[in-house]
Amino acid sequence: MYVAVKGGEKAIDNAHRLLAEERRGDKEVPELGTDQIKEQLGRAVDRVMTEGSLYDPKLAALAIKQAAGDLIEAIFLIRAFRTTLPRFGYSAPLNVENMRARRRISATFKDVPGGQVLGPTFDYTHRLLDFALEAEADERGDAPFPTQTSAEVIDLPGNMPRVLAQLSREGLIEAATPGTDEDTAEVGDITRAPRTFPADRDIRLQTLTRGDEGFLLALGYSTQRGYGRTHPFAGEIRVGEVTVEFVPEELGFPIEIGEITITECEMINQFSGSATEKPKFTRGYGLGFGHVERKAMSMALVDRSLRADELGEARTAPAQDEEFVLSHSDNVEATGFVEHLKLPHYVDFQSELELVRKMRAAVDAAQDNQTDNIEAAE
Amino acid sequence: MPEQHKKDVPLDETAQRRQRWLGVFAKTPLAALEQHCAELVAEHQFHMLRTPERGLVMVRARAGGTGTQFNAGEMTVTRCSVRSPSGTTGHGYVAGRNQKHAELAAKLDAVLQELTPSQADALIDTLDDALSEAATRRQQKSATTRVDFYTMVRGDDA
Amino acid sequence: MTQSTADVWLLEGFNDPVHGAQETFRAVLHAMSAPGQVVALPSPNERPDGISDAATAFLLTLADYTTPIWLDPALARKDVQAYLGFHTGAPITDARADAIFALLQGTEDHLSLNEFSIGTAEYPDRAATLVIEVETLTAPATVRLTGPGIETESMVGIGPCAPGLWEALIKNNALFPLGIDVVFSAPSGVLAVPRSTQIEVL
Repeated sequence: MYVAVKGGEKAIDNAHRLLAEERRGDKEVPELGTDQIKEQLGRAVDRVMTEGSLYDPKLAALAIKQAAGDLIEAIFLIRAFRTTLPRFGYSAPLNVENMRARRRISATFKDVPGGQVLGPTFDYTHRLLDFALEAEADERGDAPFPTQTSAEVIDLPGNMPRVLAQLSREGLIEAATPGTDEDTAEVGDITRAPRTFPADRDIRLQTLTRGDEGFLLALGYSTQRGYGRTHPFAGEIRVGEVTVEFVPEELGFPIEIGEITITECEMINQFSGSATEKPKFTRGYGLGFGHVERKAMSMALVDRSLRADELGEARTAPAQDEEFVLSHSDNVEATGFVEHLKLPHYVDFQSELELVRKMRAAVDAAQDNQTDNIEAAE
Repeated sequence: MPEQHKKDVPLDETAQRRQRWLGVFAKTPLAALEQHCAELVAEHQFHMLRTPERGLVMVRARAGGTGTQFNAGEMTVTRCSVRSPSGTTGHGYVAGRNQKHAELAAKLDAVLQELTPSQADALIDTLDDALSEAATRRQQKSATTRVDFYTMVRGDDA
Repeated sequence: MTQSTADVWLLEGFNDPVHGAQETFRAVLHAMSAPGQVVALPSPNERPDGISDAATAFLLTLADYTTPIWLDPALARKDVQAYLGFHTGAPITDARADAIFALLQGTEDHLSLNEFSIGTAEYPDRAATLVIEVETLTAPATVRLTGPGIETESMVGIGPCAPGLWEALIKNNALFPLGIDVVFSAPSGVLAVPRSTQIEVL
């Protein structure tokens, strides 16, 4: 139990002042602008948007600056901010078929319609520190992108066919088209109604999308190491822009309200079949705001693992335990509960102290008694 | 009641045209929108039906791109509604928190309904072309990273 | 889906949407916690014909895209739907069972409170709140209200009062903790009779 304490107002004010001073750092060094964070620390911004569950790069950049780069603190700030805004409603489901992909790779087929497009990726870098970046200017980043000769200009198709559709046509993979019932069913929303178990896939996916990247990465990794194997392949990973459509009540027809960058990952997993079903491939799905590839891949692995019941697989590993996974994936909830241990627990601890003293006294007394008895017996 | 200037145009067509330009206004950066369109609305006194309001839209997605729907997370959106001097209602919905952007979109929605379709189309085509060009440029850069992977033959038993 | 509302003249809501809604919320909270008391609400700048300022303020404040509204057939006009749609985002529903809020005309001869949601044992809060439009909240008293929020008793008279209305509300009270909540609206404000209120017809 938590018992409130009073006092320390002045000390708290001063602590906040000190925090602001530390955040600013050495005043000889120019202050960081939020536009610099937005433009130059894009991966951090994307993580804060995805786990903060709010697409707004400028706000995420501000949160990162305010949190002095502590991303979970920044995510917390974003979650708190969103509660101050009214919600206008739900968008139409994103039409990812029309994504303008800037990166699209498949680890399962080398020849995919639309081609393998690496886009901006760390994948083939040598992980050698580039000391040129330590010098003031980022020369490679500043250099103009080489202009192509007209022969080199290749237009990427506006909508690339999805890789898994190929397998789908052969019937080798489960369908990803919802039944009519499923599509008209109300879509669960954990920001409006508390989660209950067992949770449906809509609730699981919403929870995983905002879940902690590190937690999901570790869980995904655990499935690869044998804790609930799912035999995954990265069927397709895409990063690109999609438009968001919304139907304002006063218009009654859908309009595009803007474009957002998203990352998608479709995992292909082997399924050895059951009494009623032939062996085939199954799917796991991951999605996040911005360029968040590691997160999308981890999420896809965990999404597939959490489908154990649905696919008649025995639930033996942590990644298959939906109550465990969904209840512990949110880093704002987690940090709240872990960090609250820092707050004064003086009264609680006093009572624990008394209790332990009493227990020790009881043990001592029992021992004394026993010694007395032994002595008496002798 | 407002003047019914579009009686001869079937409702669906108006809706379709508004649908197109509202999307273009939302996606065009404010600076470009001001550059091309600010003078269209500068002369008019608009009545505010809804002053620019910031809020959220929950973005829906589908598992696997085409499957079960789920809520992926929210985005910030700003909206505004105005009435033009001649009584046309205009609505603006734009991603982000820029109130000026939403207000300009709403005013333009009202004004464009009062233009002839060809006048409005000319304006929207210009903005739309600029958007497509920007997207194409972005994609052309990515196109230079397209690769063909060759499967190497392993071992000596080839 | 309506294709366009371009031909509907949109009316204004609260002059200051944030403060208008906050004031109304506070007043409605008071009305609900003190059943039988007449509480004045702020007036919106404009409202559709045939709906009181009080009922309009109530819906502008409490309805949103998650709360379907059922409208009395006499009020289910295009201008009313456009007004509520624009200012609240609330969908208008024909099915009473789906409604979270309902706007009824108390002047009707056969006012039926049936079919509205009374909530469930797990979620009694999912019941409908009915706004019933009447001409006056200060007619000669015909019922005595007692229960939570009422120190001794509250003598209430609304006019006109549809036949069988109080009897229906007595039955509703018997369902507690389930049941609908009722707010009577008139030019002078609102008067709430939540499901927890006991009613005795004089």
